[in-house]
This record gives sequence, C-alpha cells and structure tokens, in this order.
Amino acid sequence: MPTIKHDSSGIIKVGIIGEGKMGSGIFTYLLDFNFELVWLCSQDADTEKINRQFAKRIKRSLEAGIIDRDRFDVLIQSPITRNMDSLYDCDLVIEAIPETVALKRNLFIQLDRIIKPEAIFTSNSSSISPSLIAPPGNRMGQFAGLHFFYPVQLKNIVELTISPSTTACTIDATETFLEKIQRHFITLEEKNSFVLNKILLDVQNEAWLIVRAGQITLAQMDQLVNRHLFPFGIFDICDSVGIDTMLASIRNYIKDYPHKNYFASFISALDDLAAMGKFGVKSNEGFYKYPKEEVRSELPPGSDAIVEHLRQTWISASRRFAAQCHLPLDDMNRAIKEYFGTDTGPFG
Amino acid sequence: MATLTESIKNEVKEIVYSFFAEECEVDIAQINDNTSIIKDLDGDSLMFLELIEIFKKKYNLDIELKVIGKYAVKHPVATIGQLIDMQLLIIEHENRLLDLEH
Repeated sequence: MPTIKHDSSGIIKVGIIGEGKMGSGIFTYLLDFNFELVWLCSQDADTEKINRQFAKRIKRSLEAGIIDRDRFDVLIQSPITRNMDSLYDCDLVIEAIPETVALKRNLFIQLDRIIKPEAIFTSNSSSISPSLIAPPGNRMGQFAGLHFFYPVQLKNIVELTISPSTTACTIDATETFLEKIQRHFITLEEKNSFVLNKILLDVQNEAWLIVRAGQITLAQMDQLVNRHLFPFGIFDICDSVGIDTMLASIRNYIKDYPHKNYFASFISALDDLAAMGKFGVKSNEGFYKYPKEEVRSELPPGSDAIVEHLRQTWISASRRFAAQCHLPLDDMNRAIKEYFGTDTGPFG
Repeated sequence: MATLTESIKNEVKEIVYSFFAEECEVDIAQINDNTSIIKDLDGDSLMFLELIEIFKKKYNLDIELKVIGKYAVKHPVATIGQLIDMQLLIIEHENRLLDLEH
C-alpha cells in the first residue's frame, strides 16, 4: 500500500461527479472555496449548456464583486466535462450519481484505473455503504462516504461514513477538508451510516401507522407535523425526494434491522405508489397530486396526543442512534437540528 | 436594516428580471411578476441563492443563508414577483427576517 500523507493543505483539486441536484449543489457550494474543480457529467448531459450557464454565473459574480479577477481566472478554467480522464490528478473525488450499487461500483473501478493512487474517493450516497461500492485493492483504504444533504448550500451538515478499511490518514484528510469548507459533520462507522435519515424514517413510519389506523388523514398529518414539529410534512418530503428513491433507501436502511416487519406497512404503501407510477413530484403524483392544492382542514380531536407521540418517537430514535454511534449528544443534537431544520433539537 | 426606497425596489426588480432572462435564456420581455420560476422558466427554486449573494454584496447585508433557508421553507417562492418580495424583505430585515414570523 502506498504511503499517503494528506496534510491540511493536501486537497487541492476536487472532482465532482454527477450533474443532478446533489452533484450540481456540491460543485456550486465548492466554488466559494479555494479549490481547483473538475465537474464530470454523465454521457447524456448537455455539457455545452452547463458550461455556458457556469460561465455566466461566475461572470455575474465577478461583476458583483463577489469574486476577484484572480479567482475568476481560475474558475473559468474549471473543466465541466464528460471525459473521465480529466479527473486523473484530483486529490479528492465526490461521486453523486444515481443510487445504484452496480452503477457506482463500476464507476469507481474505472476511476481507480485513471486517478492517481493517493487520491481519496468518496460517495455522496444516501443509502449505500462504502464497502459495497469501493473498488477492490489499495483504494479501499482511501474510500469513504461523504453524505451531503439537499440543498447543499443551506444544510450545514455532512455524514462522513468510514468502512473498516478506511485509513486514519483518509479520515483525517477528509475531516480537514470538511472543516475547510465550513461544514459541520459527524463521523460514522458504516454499520451506523445514514443515521439522520434513519431517525426520520422512524418518525415517518409512526406517522404512517397513525394515518393507516384512520386517526387522521395524510394531509392533516402533514399539517400537524408542519405546524408543531418540523418545517416540512412527513409525506410531502417522500413526494419531494421521490417515492422510488425513498423505497430503495428504506430497504437499504432496514436490511440489517431485527424488526423489519415494523416497517412493512409503510414500505407496502410506497411499493403500491411506485407500482402505479406515482413517484412523487417528478411524476405529478405520489401521496399527493401536483400541482398541490393547499387545503387547510380542521384537525381532529386527539391531535395534541399525536404530536406528542411523534415528538417522543423523534427523541427516542435520536437517543438510540446517538448511543449506537457513540456520538456525544451535543454533536448529535446539532446534526439533527440542522437536518430537521428545527431551532430545538431532541436533546434541547 | 435598510429603508426600502423606490430606487432600491426598482433596482432589485431590474436585477431579478435580468438575472432570470440571462440564466434561463429567455427574452426579458417575456418575464413578469406572475411568471412561474419552475413552470415558465424551467428554473430552479434555489436560483434565489445566487441572487442573495449578489444583493448581500451590493447592499452590504448581514444575512445568513440559514436564516433565509428557514424563512423560505415556510414561505416558498413560486413566481418572480414573490421572489422580488422576498429579496426586499431580506434587504429590509437582514438577519431579523425570522422576527417577522412572530
């Protein structure tokens, strides 16, 4: 295995892979920091258009005085490309392509052949563990999960997921990178990965069980949650993320849970929607129809108890996962507040 | 905290219109306050973030993105007119934007 030393200034050139919401969000966010950037887009991407828009954007930033001429000159050279070879001298790559194990694994195998051996590979996957997609061989030690949240510019939290093979040097360099880009992070072993989404899943599942029991409608539940708990609705967020994406993620999250049946009804509901082609906002229908009509209905008696039940579910899931991950409650609280967009976390 | 003069209001409107015309590659004459950013311009609801950076610099604003994020979740922006109104509120109230909720 090569000896690798990434000190605090070791990461100079960063490659971002994928032109979806996360890839473009990460690329845009990193523009504000002093890295050389390469953005690798898929073969289907309209890189001419992406390049044109990027050039306009940094020109506007120059004119508005947000960046100076030197930074403009560096950024204007940033390759936005479909050519994988452009990544050969990156110190760090962040992959943000669709959530498919085979797709990601094949990509990393190809990248491993092209990119210099000391580079760190990371995946922005929201549900696939690093060990499942890392290329075999030495690069296993330089591989980690780097899970940003949408919208990247607004969500100041990242989950850094490490596998048993990830070296201390890689962890150190990646944590230094996250500090440099001013993102709070929690470092998780991969057996405890995606902990923030898992906490949400517990709350979503309880909310679904209450709706299924007929105590409240979907819309009333979202209205209630939005008013008293989080700045989003439980089922709104499923539609926004995409029913198929949610389904695939949940299946990955619970695959090692001893109590999988607890989630069976919620998964079945998502499965039924997906089977009908109702994938959420992107297909104009999921739990709701889009464009969505905002209907404010009277909340049924017992709503306070429902809110309290969900709040307790949130707190107990947060406490359980914090203990499982050996994370200090303060760190976990901060991460959860950022993720859920609340002023108060489960621990105060 | 800035006082919104007619001149600032006009300037903000002009910058927002020009921004979307350039970014979405449409004729500025096709844009009005009722234009939907997503449906009519094929835009992105996060485009307002770049505009905020421009206004932050231009009016020397003390505003954190986190504050705007929280406000935007509760007051989603769909049209150009709504976006202009939000930008004006940001210029006027800066980091005290969330006080408007109370």
